[in-house]
Amino acid sequence: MSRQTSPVPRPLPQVDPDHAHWWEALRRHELLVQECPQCKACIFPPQPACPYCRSLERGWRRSSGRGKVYSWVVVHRASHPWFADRIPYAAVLVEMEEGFRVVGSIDCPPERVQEGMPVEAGFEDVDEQISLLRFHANNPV
Amino acid sequence: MSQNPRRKTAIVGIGATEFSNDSGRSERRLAVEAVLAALEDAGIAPDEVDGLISSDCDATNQLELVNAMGLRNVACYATIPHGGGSPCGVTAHAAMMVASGACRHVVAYRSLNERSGQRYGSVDAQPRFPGVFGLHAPYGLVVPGEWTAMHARRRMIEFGETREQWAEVPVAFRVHANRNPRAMQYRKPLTRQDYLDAPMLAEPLCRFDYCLETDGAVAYVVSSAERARSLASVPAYVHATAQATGFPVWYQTNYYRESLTTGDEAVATAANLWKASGLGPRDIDVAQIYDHFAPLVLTSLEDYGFCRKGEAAAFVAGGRIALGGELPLNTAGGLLSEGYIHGWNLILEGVRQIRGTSTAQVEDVEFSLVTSGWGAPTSALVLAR
Repeated sequence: MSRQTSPVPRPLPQVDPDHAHWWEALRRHELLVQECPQCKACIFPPQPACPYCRSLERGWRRSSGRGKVYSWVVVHRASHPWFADRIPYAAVLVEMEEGFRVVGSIDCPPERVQEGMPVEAGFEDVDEQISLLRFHANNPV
Repeated sequence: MSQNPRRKTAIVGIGATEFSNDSGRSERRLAVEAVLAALEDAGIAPDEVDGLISSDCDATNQLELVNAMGLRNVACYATIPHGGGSPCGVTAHAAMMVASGACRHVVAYRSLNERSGQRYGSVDAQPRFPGVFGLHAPYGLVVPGEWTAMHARRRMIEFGETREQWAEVPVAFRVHANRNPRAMQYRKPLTRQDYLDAPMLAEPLCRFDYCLETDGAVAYVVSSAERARSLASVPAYVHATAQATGFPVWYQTNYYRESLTTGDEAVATAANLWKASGLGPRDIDVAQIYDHFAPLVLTSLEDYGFCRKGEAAAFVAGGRIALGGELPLNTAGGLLSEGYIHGWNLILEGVRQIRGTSTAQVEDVEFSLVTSGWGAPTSALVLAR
């Protein structure tokens, strides 16, 4: 989605210390999900500690990048001006193989998105700090 | 925490401004008007007010209200967090302020120019989104309607629901608004066909699934049950209140918890409420269910135990939530059709149902339920005659 520069900046994450690992990994085109070294819980969104065993140690596990569409939204009237000339667009909620869910964009037309559709993580470089998730639709149909 | 003030306190006065698209005055001014109306309704003088409480989203803080109204005797004040989840929690804390003996008369207020001022449904070109917001805003899920369409879609996937079934909610609430001269949609009928023909905004939601955007203010006064009996108004006793966060809870997205069609915070709030009240869903005569988005009314009905999970579409069908039905809901029109004072106007209508002064009055109301926003740390209350 490399387009002409919009008059307004694209909405981007404010990277804080708790989320830094996630975003740094995405920038390297990796999916790192927080996994508690003590109780092995998969933790997403990232937390400053393990909410299950309260371990202060944080660990990270590489995700396969494969998942299935759990739900999705097709936006026909954009609320944020950056998206105004990009409608209609789909945002997908994907359940990853490891069991956590994550939001991303998808590289197929919105009307082709289906529940349960297999997808694979792709990456869209935005700037020196941020890459965003853009799923590839591995659509058998 | 147990919050069981069963009938130790009452809402003794209610007040509101008109609900409009453009109030033409400041939020502070609107707050003063609503508070004065509530005090007059109760027959309480401003100098008798010793407690003030509002929600974290309010632009008028307690100090500004003190200065605007010359309130000299405020001895206890609080702000309750989590936006649309807070309104009944404000009542809970106001009741505790009174029941603890800290206050005699607590004024609760909420004022906003949500249509002419900062609209929650649109954003400035905000470039950076903090924390979990950064996990969805960059993909174009920026405002509540865009977030919530994800949950609505899951209702279709899991329960096979259709927009035809969802139409029941906004159409019933509009019929109620058409009886209520205060409602923004008083003179605007809404048919099932209007709903089905409406273009998608954040698919699968259309504009009639969205609550209104409103300029206005509401206020109410909480006093002890004992004092209530000597006041001018008919008291609506605070029978029970509840708050709960649930776990985990991600402010209004909740994409990361087990289900998108069950609200952990709503289920936990309901459990606390039914325990504190000694009541169950069958005891409720009329309810105001927080309706920021129509399909979430169905989820709330399930989470509060009015029907089983996945059965709410059948529960609301055939006029059962309209006046004259088994469980009339949102009898002033709700946030969908009366106005959006961030859920606070639902509390006023809950009081009117106890007083017998609603424009869609249910007969012989003993227990009136009000819930606050699904998807945020939330709250609920039962008012009693």
